[in-house]
Amino acid sequence: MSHEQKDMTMADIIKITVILVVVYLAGGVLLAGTYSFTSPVIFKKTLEEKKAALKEMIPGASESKELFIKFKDGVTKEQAESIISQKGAKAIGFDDASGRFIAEFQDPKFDMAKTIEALGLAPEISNAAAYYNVSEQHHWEVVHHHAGYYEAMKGSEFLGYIAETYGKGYSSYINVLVGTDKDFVIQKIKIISHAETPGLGDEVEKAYFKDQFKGKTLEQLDVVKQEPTEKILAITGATISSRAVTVGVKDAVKMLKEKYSGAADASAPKEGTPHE
Amino acid sequence: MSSAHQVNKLELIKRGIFQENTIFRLAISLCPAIAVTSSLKNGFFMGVAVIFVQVMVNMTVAALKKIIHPKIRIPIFMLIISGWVSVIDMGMAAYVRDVYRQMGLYIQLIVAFASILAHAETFASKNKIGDSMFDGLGMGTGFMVALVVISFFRELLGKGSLWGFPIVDAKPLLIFVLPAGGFLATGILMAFFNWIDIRFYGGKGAGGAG
Repeated sequence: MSHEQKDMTMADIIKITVILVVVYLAGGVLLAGTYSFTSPVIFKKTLEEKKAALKEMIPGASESKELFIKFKDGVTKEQAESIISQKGAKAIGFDDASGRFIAEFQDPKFDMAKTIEALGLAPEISNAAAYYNVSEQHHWEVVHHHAGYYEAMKGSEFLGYIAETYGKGYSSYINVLVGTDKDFVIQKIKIISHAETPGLGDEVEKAYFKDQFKGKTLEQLDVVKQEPTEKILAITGATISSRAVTVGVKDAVKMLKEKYSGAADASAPKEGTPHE
Repeated sequence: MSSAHQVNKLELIKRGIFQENTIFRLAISLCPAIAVTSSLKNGFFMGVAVIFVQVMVNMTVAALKKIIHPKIRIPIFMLIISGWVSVIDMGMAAYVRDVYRQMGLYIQLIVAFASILAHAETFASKNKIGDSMFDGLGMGTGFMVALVVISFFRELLGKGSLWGFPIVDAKPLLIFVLPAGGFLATGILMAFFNWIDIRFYGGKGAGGAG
């Protein structure tokens, strides 16, 4: 313990420097190694979760596609089901009245025309039109974050919009999904991720807070602290987090309104339909 | 020899839970403790996370104690703490996502815990790896016990529920969920444990801290 009494010599200084550099390099290598192993896994799983979350946003909309297929007379139900399942699809129903099968395709990139052809049944297929879809992603920027927004379709029927958004919270950016109907009335919000204070800010994930957003319009998206309210009531002890979510949602609805209500028909998507 | 060691290690764990309980005795790391104890579930998961990080940090510090020059020990301790926190955080985010969804928020908070650094400095840097592990285990367990006890009362009194399940259909004393109530609850419980200590153990359990 002689270091306490004497001034440091040059040798001491060099020794300390070398130790510090070596330990920090080792720490850096360890962290980089962990990161390189885990970050692809995290990225993939986050994407999957976001996809799953998207499906929940608008009831009736989903990423899977449904086809109605009519087979020739004489093809039995069993034969038809086996043909459908060979093509990576699942027969989910049979309409007795029209004699059509309903097949579901999980792959969102599924090419309808090609598959119909591949089934070798092209002339007999009819009404291959109805499917649910959350359309291709569009992009926008919010509080320096890249986010997407989507048009939700069910067949040719337009259901509404889903937008991803961010709000600047107390200790993190809160990532939120907002689902609105075609008149921009909020149907549902979902908190994707955040790093707010446990016990206070993380209350924004609770249903009693999120459910307040249902049925709200752009004008109602402000945080207040007192009941009764037509607006959003802040969580006690987490005003900043409550405000962050609300501002994020507000930005998203405002953006959707700007992008879409300029169109001739305010209730329909402006740019091309998402159908094949 | 082995039996003598056994007692020694048990003693280490007991010390972390009772005589040197981080919250009730040493009264450090109160800020994060009060922030997370508004519900039983939060308190429990925070406790688990702390046990894990403290054990890993203690063992690493004990293993490296020969090369850690006293003049630069604090930056190296900080690297070890934040390194382990990051590794655990990333590992859990990738491989145990369900658990991470519950605990992820707490893991990152631990970097700022005075108690982790305190145990690295006062114990692990002077003791063997095995002993340091038990010291970490004891400290973490004591921390968890304290959080669970505090959050039990705070959630029950403040929200009328336990682990998120409603017990009484009311919010009897909302103040207990708020930070002010956190200090109140912690203070009352601290006094209670001091009373037990003085009443039944003649004040010895306090380890001089009272």
